[in-house]
Amino acid sequence: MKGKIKEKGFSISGALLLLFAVWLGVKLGLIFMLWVTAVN
Amino acid sequence: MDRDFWSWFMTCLFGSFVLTCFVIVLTDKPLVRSDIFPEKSSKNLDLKESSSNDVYLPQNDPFVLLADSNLSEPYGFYRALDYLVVADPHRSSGKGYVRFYDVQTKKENEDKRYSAKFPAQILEFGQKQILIDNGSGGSIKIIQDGIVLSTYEGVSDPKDGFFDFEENLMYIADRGNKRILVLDTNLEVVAEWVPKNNFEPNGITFGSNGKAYVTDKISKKVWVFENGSITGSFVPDSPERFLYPGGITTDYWGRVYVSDYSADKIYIFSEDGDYLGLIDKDLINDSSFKKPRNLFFDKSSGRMLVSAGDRLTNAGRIWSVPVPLLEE
Repeated sequence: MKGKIKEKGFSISGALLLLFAVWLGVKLGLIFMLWVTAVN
Repeated sequence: MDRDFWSWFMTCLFGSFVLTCFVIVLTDKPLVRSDIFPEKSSKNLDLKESSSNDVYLPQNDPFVLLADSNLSEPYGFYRALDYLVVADPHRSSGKGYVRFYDVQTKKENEDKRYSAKFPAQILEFGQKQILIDNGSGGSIKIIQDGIVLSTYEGVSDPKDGFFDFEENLMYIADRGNKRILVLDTNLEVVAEWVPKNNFEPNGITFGSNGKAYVTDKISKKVWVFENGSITGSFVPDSPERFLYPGGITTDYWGRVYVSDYSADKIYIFSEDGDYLGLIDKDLINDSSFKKPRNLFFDKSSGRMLVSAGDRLTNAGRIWSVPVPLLEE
């Protein structure tokens, strides 16, 4: 074997980024629904 | 971060977005909330009492006057003797129409229908109509048999209007220009009312006392105008407040009705602004009574007609709800 295969695994930064994705998705969903149901 | 990670990232982002939308739709939770929950006034007139003391007018007719599947989000409307004319903007597609319905058959007369960008209110005078179009900045049009006779474009975001048959003048709630515009039937400017306070009129009506009542989006009040100047204001009694006062009209007895789109309620005031009671889903026992917009007092049935519906559901309705009789 020429080089080491980098193992995939749990990383704090990856988990935080996924959490950020969920948070952003919720916020975008809320903003979208606010826009859809805007009073005008 | 490898490719796998970013596909997970996008899955989480999109998934939570869709899930949030679903949860909001399914729970039907209002997004614009207030910590003040309107309650019934002590002077409230309850429909349940109506059978015993005739507080409200007779209840034989159904509460839904019109529920056509084509009707998406009705704004302003009026009832002539045998037909109902509805401004239906359909905000989700941007293809608005003015629709004509036979009151008896509830069927639309498609030959009379005409398109408009964003019809916000429709008024009648003589054989003609005044269309308050909110689309493309805004315009006021005089229309006869679907043909535009004249147009006035000096308005911005107009929402409502009132036609004074005695003076032959129209009063336009010119929201974007923060004023009430007075036009004659040739669409010439007669006057403009520009209050000093920051003011965005949503709706306008006149009482038999000659006073104008104007709902304000900014201060969330009803302003009382006399001869073009503000002389007073009112809101429902505490803890009741307006969340979004929109449509406004007066009835045969001079009482003022104000619809609150965000609170799903219609408040009733005396002509002096005293809070008398409210009309809501509990009164007519129908939980689908939501998002009331424009109001029209129907003299022929003695009921308040209410346009309702939102862009989300595209299920517009014209309701016919009872009004309280005077306590004599």
